[in-house]
Amino acid sequence: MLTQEANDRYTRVGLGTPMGELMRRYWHPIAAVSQMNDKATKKVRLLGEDLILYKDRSGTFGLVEPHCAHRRMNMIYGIPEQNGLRCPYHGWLYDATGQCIEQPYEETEDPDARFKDKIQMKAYPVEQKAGVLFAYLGPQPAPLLPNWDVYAADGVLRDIGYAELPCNWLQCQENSLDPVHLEWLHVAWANYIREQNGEFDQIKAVRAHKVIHFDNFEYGIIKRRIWEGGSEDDTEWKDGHPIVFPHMLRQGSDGFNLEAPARWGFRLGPAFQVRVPIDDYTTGHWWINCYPMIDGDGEQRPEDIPFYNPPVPMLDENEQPVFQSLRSNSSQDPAAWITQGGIADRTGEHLGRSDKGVIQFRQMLEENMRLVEEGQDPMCTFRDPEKNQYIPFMTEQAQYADTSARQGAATMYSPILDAREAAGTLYEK
Amino acid sequence: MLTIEQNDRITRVGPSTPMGELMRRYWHPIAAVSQMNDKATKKIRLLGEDLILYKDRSGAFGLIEPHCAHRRMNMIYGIPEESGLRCPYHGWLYDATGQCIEQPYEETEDPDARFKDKIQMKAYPVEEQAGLLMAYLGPQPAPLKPAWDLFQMGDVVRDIGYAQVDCNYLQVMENSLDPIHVEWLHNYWANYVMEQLGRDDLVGDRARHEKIHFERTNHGIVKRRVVVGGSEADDDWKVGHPIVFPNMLRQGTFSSRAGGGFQIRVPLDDYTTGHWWFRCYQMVEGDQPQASEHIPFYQVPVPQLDAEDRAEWEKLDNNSGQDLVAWVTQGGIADREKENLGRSDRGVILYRQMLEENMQIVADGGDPLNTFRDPATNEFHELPTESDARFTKMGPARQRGGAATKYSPIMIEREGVVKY
Repeated sequence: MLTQEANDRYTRVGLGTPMGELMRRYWHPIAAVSQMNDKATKKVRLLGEDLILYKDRSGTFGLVEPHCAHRRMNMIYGIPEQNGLRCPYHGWLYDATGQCIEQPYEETEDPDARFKDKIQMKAYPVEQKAGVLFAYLGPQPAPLLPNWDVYAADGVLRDIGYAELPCNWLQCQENSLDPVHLEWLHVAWANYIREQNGEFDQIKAVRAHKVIHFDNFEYGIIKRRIWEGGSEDDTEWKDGHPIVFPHMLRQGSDGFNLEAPARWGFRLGPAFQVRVPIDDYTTGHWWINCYPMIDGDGEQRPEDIPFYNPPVPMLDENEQPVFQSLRSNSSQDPAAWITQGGIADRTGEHLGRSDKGVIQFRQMLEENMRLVEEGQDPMCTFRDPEKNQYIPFMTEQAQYADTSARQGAATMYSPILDAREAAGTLYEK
Repeated sequence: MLTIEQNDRITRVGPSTPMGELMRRYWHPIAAVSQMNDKATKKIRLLGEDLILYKDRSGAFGLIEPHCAHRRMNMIYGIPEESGLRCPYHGWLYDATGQCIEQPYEETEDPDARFKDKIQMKAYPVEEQAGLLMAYLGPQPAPLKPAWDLFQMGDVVRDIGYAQVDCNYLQVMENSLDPIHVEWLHNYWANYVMEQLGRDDLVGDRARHEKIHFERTNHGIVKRRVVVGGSEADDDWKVGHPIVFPNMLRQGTFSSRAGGGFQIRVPLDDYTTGHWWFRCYQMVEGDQPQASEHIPFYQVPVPQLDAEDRAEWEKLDNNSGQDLVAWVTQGGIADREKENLGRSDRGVILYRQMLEENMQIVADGGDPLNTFRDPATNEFHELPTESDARFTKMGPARQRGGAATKYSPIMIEREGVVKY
């Protein structure tokens, strides 16, 4: 249970809030490169700020405030130039730093006019990695964009899923520190959903958690579990499951051996769920997955990496669950997060032994907000390129014999897996 | 750059605000007569007030507050009577002044009942002008409806376009005091739009402004321009382009192919503008004089973005679509605290001064600019307009009259639908 003040402190991400300041120390996904293949501008909302992402004719991406500094037309209709974005209303041109570099009529009347020098739009750096465009809204100098294995692995194909969720980011992230919900939300409730959908042959055995444990590590927290009938020798305990600070869950294979066997019946490489705070009440949820290449795969260019939208579960017009849309983890989890409320009222929660990881994560948030307040770099800040070449994670090595596993997660919507399934190359013979 | 207070002063139009009081001194279009051909009642919003427009069985129009004074059912479901509008709930009947003239059950119980005499709904005068229904919400006596040339002309055919625009009226008006945007929004950006539509063949050179100038006239402001390659002998400079105070732009010459017109920007409330394209075309063979109810009404679409922020380029190929997105994307009320005006914006500044002066006149109890009370001086107000605009000639010949005429029923009948 938190006080209202403590809940606000962990959840509110606007400019000048403690959590907003912490979040502004990180690079955040804002779009897939391939989302910009058919357009030059896109509205972006991040940490409570409205912005316009653009791609100029040189192929460079920029991120500026939405309204032109002249007469405030929205730059969503901006014209990409060789270098920068031009307002369509009167032709003012801005470079990627937000500096106004042309005011055509001012220069017609007075070729020496320097009015433009005084005009500076807010602008933020954008970097591309793994087909994802990342933005950094914090103080300069910006840290390096981390080379997590998911982003830096070679020899893989990737796809990028996205859903905009109408709830605060912390509900999503706390879910990842909570092993016990897996047994209930994703097995027991999933069975009920299968029942509602008439998929009686898909009913799974429910296994109970015997022990759960959480260890801090350099980049976040490792969660560990022992299932009923298992032991400390099991990979779920020994290797565990990493949560990467501040808002990522690492899934899929480890980053050390990308040639790992097809543990889900199909090959899934390193994968992230990233929970980007769009504002206090909205989260941009990303599924960034790697799939080890198979014969016939070629390297993807960033603009070729497919983008897809897993559906967001909603109630129907009679306020009833739509069970067909609740068949995978990627919708069961959002159903939990969204129905906790815009910002979950943690003054009314009651945490038990199942929630040790949640409490440990909140402590880690608190410590890192303090570090930022003291002017220091928080966890997962990289400034030395030597230490940012390739950052692999170890993950639990459990084998899943059941090839229906694809249907249990956002992978059910993955375009890469769709293509492999259509080509008959998805499942190992 | 304005303070928040200054911005509020020239944008907010509700009752008893300074700009609301100024705007209440004018007749405003609220509907086309032909919009009432197939119905007797219509919801109207004007200067922050909700109202019901109706046509009774004698053909007279009335404008009253929406809720019956009895038990508040909405008069949108009202029954038009020979004279006046009756509430369907209990039969109370109101005349065009809003006076309740029948309360059937009160009169059943007591034939001498005078309860109805005490019941007065708010009501405003409505008058027709050239196929438009005009309303006046200000103090009595109401001034005359101005006899602007395009409203008075005979031997023309007309059509009436409309769009409800999600922003304050002032953004729309300031656009008309701003010649430079034509070079960019309607020329350079229009080229980009053509590129998006795959019509590189319609991309043309951008005409460039050499100088701009603004003068006060008897009826508002005239804007003048010289474009590169032109001179002060051109119509663009010599005759110029009139803005009619407080909320109209005159466009085109009616003798030209695409006719002449008014753009009228009616403040529906602080965040919404009713935009009218009123246009006159010279008659061609076969045209008959139009009765008011035959003047066609059409909707002008407001371009939108889809869920992935892709623009509706096919609706952005014309000046009106381009202007609409400029105005709307400036915000509900543009945040003028954050604007940065330059040499290009002298006309905007002059117009704001004129608004301020006229708000002051109203506050002092006077009549503002373009108030006409003497029929002898309100017969025909000619508004000279550049007829041979070098500027529009220099632009790519890809627009039909450069405006909402893309959607005009008369132009479509004469020239067909514009397609890319």
